[in-house]
Amino acid sequence: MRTAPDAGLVGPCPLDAALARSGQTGVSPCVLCILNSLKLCAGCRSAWAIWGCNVAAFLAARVTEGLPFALVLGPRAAWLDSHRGALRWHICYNLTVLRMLSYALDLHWARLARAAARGPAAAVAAAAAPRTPRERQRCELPSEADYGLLPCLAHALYPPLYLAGPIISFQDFAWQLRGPPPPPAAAADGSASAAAAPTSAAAAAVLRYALRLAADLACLEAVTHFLYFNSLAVHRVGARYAAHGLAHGAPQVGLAAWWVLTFMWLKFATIWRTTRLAALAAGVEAPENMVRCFADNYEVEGFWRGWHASYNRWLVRYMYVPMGGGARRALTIWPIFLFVALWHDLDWRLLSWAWLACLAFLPEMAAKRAAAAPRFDAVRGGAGFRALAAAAAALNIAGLMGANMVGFVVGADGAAALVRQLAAAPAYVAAALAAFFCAAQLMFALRAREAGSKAA
Amino acid sequence: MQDLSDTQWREFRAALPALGAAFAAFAALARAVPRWAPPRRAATARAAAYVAFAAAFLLHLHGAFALHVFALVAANRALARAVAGRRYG
Repeated sequence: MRTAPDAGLVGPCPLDAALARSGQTGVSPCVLCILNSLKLCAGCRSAWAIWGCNVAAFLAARVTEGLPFALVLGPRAAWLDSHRGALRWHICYNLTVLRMLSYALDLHWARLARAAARGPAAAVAAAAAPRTPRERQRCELPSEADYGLLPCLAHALYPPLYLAGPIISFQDFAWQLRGPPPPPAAAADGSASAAAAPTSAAAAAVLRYALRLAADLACLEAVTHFLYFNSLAVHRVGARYAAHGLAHGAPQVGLAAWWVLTFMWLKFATIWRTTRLAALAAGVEAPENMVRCFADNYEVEGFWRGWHASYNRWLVRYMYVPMGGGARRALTIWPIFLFVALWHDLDWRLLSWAWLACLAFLPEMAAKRAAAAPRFDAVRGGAGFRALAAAAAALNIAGLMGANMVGFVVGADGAAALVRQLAAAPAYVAAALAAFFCAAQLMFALRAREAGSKAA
Repeated sequence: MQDLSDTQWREFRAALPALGAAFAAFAALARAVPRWAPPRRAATARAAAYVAFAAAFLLHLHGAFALHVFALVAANRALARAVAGRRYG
């Protein structure tokens, strides 16, 4: 079961001619970057068509603010524009387009795999029904009918996950549509209890998840009732009243950044867990978006994996792996970053935050690659190596918190002033780094425990 | 006093009771379908029920613009059916 077709092309690539012509006429590097990105993304004409049409429709919806009827059908249909409903459709379209791309690419790769297997019957007979989310995502469905119109619509518009929900790939959803997998043959003697146990276990899991969501909601209500940092940051209260004597140095900015981050994490966790709970209650297991507490993280890569995790999974399956995966990582992150920025509709404030986080990622990648070198194998478990790693992690956390302070609290124009304020408060910076160092040690211990329990 | 300066949270929180009711209704529908549908057509019956609920849900959310969403999903499906599985050459 392959997740992506071979990278080899079966014919001359039309983009090569365009690239050659662009190089000769001195077209801007930006255009060249886009053309190279397209070439990297395309495995063949079908993938171009699928990506191109969907991205074009997405941009058209964004630019025209929702493709008004007057524009699409002419002035006679303008009366329909007043029947707008409660929510603008092109806001939810961001998520729908990801599900649509998932359907088209899953179908594309399934057909390629079936053709390569040379005999659909042989491939289907060998396939056991997948049980885990990873298996469900990768396994092709048994027949072409499983990729029909009804499953396609049901997946793209699935009500619990339509508004904000975790992104579930088409194959994962379609396998769950077929119902629970048959119990393994070994449980034949206790078949009655085996059939009852999954239902009660599923109900208990839903209840536990509902309690977890209730805890998130309670925390969020507490934060919004007693702490007002988000409002203070949004209205730039600190910068405005600093001239009138309000204390707004590095410690205050750091505190504001911390609590704004807490609020953001709780908000997204509550929203995503509400929709995931709705899907679980209706019988569909979607990926968990908030995998880890935001404070239990010391690296950009961990942030990518632990915050909006289903989106990260989607990017890996439909962009990162088809473009070459880890082998071309330094190249592939740039078109992916471009797509993520366009998709999120980042304004300049958040874009500067994203660029800073990306800059922090480069030393992190280099440090991790260096630390994974075989010559450190002997000392890796030792206290000295761990202390060095914790110090590096503390610097990394400082970089990430700096990016948060710029992105959420002071803005790009306040960055220079913030650097001056940090330089003027060395005790605060030292205390913060010491706290990050201790936190990093705790995180290493937690991860070692998780790895141990997973292996056991 | 409550900090509702974040638009996303303010709107979601206001819609939470109605959303909760809608999701509860959907969960009841989803659980009921396998009971009255024949086992071999369970997947199709489920999909049809989900799409029917989604149509009502989208009509309420987006009004006439629900047509756009259905049209785009159907168009994507038509495109995928036409080109999926082909290589060039």
